[in-house]
Amino acid sequence: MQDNSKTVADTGFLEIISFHLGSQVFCVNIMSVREIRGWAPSTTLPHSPPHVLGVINLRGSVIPVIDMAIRLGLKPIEPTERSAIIVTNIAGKLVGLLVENVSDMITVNTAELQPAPDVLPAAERALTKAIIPHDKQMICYLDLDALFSSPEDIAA
Amino acid sequence: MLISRKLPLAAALLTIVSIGVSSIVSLQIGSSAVNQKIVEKLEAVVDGRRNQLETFLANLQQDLTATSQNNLMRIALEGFKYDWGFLGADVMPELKRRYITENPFPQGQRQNYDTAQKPDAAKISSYDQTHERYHVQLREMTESRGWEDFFLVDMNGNVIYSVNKFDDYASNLRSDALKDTGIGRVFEGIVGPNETSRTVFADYAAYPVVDGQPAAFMGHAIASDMGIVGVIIIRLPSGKIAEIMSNVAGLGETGETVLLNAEGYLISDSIHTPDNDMLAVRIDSDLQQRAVDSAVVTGSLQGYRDMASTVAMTGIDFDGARWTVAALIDKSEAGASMVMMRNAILGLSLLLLLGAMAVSIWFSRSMTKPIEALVDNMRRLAQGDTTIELKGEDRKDEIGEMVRSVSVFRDAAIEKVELEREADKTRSMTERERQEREAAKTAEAARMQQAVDALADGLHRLSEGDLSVRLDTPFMESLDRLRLDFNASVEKLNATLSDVSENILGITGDTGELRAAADDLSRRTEQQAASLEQTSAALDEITATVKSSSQRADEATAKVAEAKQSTDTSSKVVSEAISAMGRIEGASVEISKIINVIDEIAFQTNLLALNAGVEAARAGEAGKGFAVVAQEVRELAQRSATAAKDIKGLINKSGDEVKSGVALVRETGEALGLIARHVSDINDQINSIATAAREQATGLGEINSAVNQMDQVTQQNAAMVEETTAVTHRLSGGAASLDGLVRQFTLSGSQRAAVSVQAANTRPVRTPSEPTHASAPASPVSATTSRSRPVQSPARTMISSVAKAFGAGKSNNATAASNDDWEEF
Repeated sequence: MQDNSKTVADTGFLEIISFHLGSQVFCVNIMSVREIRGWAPSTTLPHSPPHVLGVINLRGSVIPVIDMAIRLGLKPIEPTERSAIIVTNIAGKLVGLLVENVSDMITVNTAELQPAPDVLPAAERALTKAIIPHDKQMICYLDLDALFSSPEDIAA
Repeated sequence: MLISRKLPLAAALLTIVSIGVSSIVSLQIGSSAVNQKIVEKLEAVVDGRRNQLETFLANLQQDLTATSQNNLMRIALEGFKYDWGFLGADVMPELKRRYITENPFPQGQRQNYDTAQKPDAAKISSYDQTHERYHVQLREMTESRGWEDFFLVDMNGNVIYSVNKFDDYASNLRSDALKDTGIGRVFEGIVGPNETSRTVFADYAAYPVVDGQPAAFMGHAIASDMGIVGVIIIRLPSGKIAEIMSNVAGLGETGETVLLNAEGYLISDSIHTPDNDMLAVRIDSDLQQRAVDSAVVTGSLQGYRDMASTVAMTGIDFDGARWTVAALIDKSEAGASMVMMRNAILGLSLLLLLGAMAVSIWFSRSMTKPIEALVDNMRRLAQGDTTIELKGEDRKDEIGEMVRSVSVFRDAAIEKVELEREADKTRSMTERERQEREAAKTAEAARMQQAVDALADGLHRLSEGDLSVRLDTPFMESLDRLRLDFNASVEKLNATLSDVSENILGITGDTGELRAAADDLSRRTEQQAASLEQTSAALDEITATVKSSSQRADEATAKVAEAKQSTDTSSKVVSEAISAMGRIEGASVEISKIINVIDEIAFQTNLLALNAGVEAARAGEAGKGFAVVAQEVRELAQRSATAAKDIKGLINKSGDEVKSGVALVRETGEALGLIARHVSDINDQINSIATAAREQATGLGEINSAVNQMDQVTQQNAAMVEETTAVTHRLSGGAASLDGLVRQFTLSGSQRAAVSVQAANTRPVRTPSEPTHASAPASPVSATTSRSRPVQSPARTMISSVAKAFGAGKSNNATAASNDDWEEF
């Protein structure tokens, strides 16, 4: 992740993948994305927190799937055939993120990044790395490392 | 003229007229139908070409717009702009030297030269690097879309990049050489009004860079947030237009479609001429002025390709260029099928005519030959020759009838001759008998004359005065007896004559009544006959009426049958329509399934493209080109998904329409069934009317024959009444002549009264004279009378009683006279 930030700083450009949750648009750095898959039913794990949907089989390796909406405190997603799972590499572990749909791949100038407003507690603010205004929309740039900083979040 | 010539001549005339008229009519109908077909075909072709062209041009616009919004274009443009500036003031000659003069490929293939960068060169040019990076991609894009050339132009009008590297590469579009060309006008059209939202088009015009060949250009701005940063321009693919226009399917050997610009010059090469016609050949026709918008006009064209042609035109408006699509076909080719049809019809008519004439001559010969023979025989028969031989009596046709009739005439002539001979014989026999009878009569008269003389002597002696003696004193017994006999005779005569007179009066009265009755009967019979004639005429009228109503009923039945057939056909059509609708529904379901698959594929493609994008991003600089491709694929996938959604909506809508259509068609079918039932009801009614009419006709026929019988009976009655009248008249005449005879005996009424009185007085005396009465039948007069009249009649009864009264041959003179009268009567 540090390497990626460095690249961003060097080139002045940042490539992101944006996705929808409800009516809101979020994005993650493209470098942390490993793969994007169509939705498939996951195997539920016992006693898992509500935002952990279960595990799926990704070419032989078992990876957890997180419902991003619940994780971000929004209304849970009703998975459809058009829903997608973004397989990300968070701290060396593969984690599937269930999103409503993947909307676009965007190249943004780092100069366009704007910090999140200073009204939230530090822990919550850490989730949002920056806000990107794009095409009359506000895209929330998520810090995946912060989202799942505690090992239990992933392991669960 | 003879019938033997008239008949074949009439048949030939009829055949010529009927065949001629039908040939001319069919030729005219065929000619107009063929012309109509050709015009319709041309209209359809021209409409199809216009739609193809419009689609093609719209695609071109869409492609160009999409390309201009591609990030790659912006990146490439920025790169070339930067490198252009780096090359300094001599940039144009320098680049021309590198990519045109030193290009190892000849003009037309220069796009194959990827970069001017020499691998071993010490100095690296950034333009060559940029060229190397983007050229392959841009060349492939240009080739895959069929564009003839692709230009990147900066805001100053410098052509900083061109795929094919003609002489316009590394030139300025605002220079004198290029500013009035199509490409220069496109550039000004975009940069001048700051046009970012649409494509700008320059119509075909001679372009000096490609040796004055015609070229059309289309351009679009490359815009960023700051506004226009550059322009992309393409040279329009005239090959694709030529491909569309050179499709001559269904236009025969001389037909083709051409595209005209607003001045009427061809902007597509005609495939029928060896030279390139673009902007060289002009079609000058006022049809073009009328072929605006989507209206299709048709007409004739002279001069183009040195032929007279039928042409259909329609207009295309494309971004300020007013083009016209024209489809044309040589009139002589169009007329070729007409000539063939005319020749075929003429040949067939000639054959038919010859056949008809041969048949008519043979037929009339077979008819006129026996007629001529018959005419000859009839002429001979009229001249009295009964020895003629008649042929063809066993024929079944009218000629046979005629021969049989002539044979009847011949037999009648033979019979007549024999009858005349027999009549002559009979006449001579009658003459002889009459002479014999006259001789016998003379002898009898002589005998009677003797008897009369003796009686006259006796009467003379009595009248000379022996009357008183006789009355007072009887003389000799023999004389007395004579006197008594004379007295008795006179008395008897007196009584008889008075009786006769009375009887004659009675007969005269009766015959009068009888005549009146017969006249009445005759008059009534005539009235009856007249009434019967009227009845018969009325019956004929009724019969005709009934027949015509029966005929009408039959015609109505036929019409009803036709109507029934029509409704049956319609129901079949309805059921076919329903099944067709069902098939459409099934097809819609299938299409929906396919659309779902397409949607799924689009979704999966999108995911794949996203993954590709992710991989490209991870590959860093090396994956940039790949990222562009992935982006393109994503856009394509999204477009497919949108299109699939649209199609799905349309399919659902059409499904609803089909459902309502099925309901309507089913209602139509029910209505048709109802009509069919009504029609068969009507049919039953009309059939019963027809049956009734036929029965009426039969009944009327029976009545008619009955009336005819009555008519015959009445005619016989009338004849009989006439006979009766004649007999009555003769009877009346007989009575009158009898009266005249009796009057000769009693000259005056007083005398008759005296006789009556005398008869009354002498009645008691009649008893002794009974024996004389009894001897009367032995008298010769009585015998003669009864022989000549064997049938009983009142007149004869009277005469016989007169004869009895005269006793033994006295007063025979009168009786003889009366006999003569009877003979004549």
